[in-house]
Amino acid sequence: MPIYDLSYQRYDGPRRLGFLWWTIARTTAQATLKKPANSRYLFFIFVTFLGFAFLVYFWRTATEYATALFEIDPDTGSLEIRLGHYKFPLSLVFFRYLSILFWPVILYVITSVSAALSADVLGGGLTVILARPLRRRHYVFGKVLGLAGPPTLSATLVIFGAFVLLWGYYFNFFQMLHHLPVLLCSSLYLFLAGGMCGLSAVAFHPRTSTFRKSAGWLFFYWFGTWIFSTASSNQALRTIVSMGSPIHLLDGIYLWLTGVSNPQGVDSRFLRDVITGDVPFYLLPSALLVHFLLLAWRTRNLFVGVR
Amino acid sequence: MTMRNRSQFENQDGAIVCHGVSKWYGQVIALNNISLEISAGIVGLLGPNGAGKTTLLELLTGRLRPSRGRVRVFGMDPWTQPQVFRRVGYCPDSDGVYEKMSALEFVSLLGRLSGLSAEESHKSAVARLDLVGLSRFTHQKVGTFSKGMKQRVKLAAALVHDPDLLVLDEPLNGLDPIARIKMIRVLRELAESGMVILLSSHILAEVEALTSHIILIHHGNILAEGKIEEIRALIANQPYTYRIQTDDPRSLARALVMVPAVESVEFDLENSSLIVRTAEAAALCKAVQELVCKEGHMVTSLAPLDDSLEAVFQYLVK
Repeated sequence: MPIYDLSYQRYDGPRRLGFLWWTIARTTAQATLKKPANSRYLFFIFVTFLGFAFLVYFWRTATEYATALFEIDPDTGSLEIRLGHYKFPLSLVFFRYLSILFWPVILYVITSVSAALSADVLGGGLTVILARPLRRRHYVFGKVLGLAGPPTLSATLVIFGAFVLLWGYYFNFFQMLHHLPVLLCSSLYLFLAGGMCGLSAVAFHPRTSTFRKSAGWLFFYWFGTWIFSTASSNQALRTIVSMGSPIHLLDGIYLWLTGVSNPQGVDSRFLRDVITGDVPFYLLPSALLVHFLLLAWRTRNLFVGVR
Repeated sequence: MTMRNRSQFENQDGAIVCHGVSKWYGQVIALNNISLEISAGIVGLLGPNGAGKTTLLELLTGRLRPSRGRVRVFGMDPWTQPQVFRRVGYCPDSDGVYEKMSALEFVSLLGRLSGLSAEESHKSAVARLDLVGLSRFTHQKVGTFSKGMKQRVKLAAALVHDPDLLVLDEPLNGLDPIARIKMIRVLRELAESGMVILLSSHILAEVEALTSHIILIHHGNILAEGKIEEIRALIANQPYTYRIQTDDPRSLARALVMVPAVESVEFDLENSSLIVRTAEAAALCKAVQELVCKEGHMVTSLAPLDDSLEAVFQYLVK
């Protein structure tokens, strides 16, 4: 008798197989959150928010005695931050803040990758997991989400908190709507950065090598390329090297999307080139896509001999 | 009871169908043009080291893609259609457990990954851990378990989603004798309930205790497939060997050498028996029967020595 005639005796309902990545993500997040170092990174993200809140509160209450730090431009209705002779738009302030928030996110991911993947890749758990109705891309997506999700979500909540704080002190409802794109672009920045961090951590996780080697590659990918690209004085060379730096690409995309037109207050020469239009914008998302594809391709190494 | 969509399985003949499957790694051929079909019951996969057993299991569990040929599990390609693993339970030989999780958490997680809801998964995990005799250790970390206990956890995990096909790689490794007997009983009950079980083992006695249906692989080829006795009967170039226990070996030997079907007779005087080789087992049995009835020889036992799995295995891989 064909087996399928027997098998239905025990079948008791349809199964949802489309969301198995969520189970992977949740299990990974639980495993990474158990690490004490990671709660410190999340705490640091919260501390930056307290600092931001203190600044906003201090300069609001000190306006009677000192020069206001935050000002609404009467012509454009934009919030600007005055430092000495310079005035910075809100998008640049958030850009600076995002640069600070990004550090705990990447450090969280780097220190968690071992907890998230070693049991699977080196302990043999992947063999059992992939003998389930789970696609490889769902596994990778779940891992990236579980690894980078908690710090990215925390950082995004903090950015939202900072925006709400400014709204409470400085904006009316319509001014809030006017500045909303900055908040959305900041969130997009964090999601892209978190996603790339998680993907790179999974992609660089070695099957047979050490955690240190893996962390070293990750540091080089994120910070080594960034340092090399900022060190170059030749514009063409700088542009080429910067295309290999995910930090520069993400920063450039953020600045372009938020419409920053004045390079004043931007330290990186490459980003100034982007703002002034010397480097065509379309190169940035294209290069980031190439990064994404290469990293996604590299994740295949995880499955060698497994599926 | 909700019925699964049957249409996708209508054209299949068995739970596992391999057609002309080959797998090679560079110049090394791991499997060479094998075809097989497994439809029901327990099937033992046997072969010496490097025969291709693991490669075959890896092909069936979607861990490898065949270099040539077609592998189908319940009519689906396990490499491209992982949804078939909703119906397949796999228990690997390697560790493959999360040591920091409790047994219940681990088995539940794999239930969730098989598409069960949280509640179903939890209930099923508790039941399966009970089935494999680990109900007292459900909240204990898997890392603290012995090898045999880990093996049972893996079996519980393979069963948590109530699969139709169970693929087991050395399932009884590390189990103590009592757990081994219990596990064999569990596997038999599962097979009787309609589950197809494919197990690989290098311990022939274990396979023999579980099933008489075997697949023998050697150098990437299937040497034989079917019931042990049937396979033995097909090995025409190897005479059957029987031990005949008697009170007068010399007299019986004298009578047996006159029987045309008998090829040779050896004395085993220590055991007061004869070792008889024949190409025609039925003719020998009939001759012995006649010698007992007509000539009054005293025969206390007549037992084949080489239709065991080990003997068949030795003959085939020689």
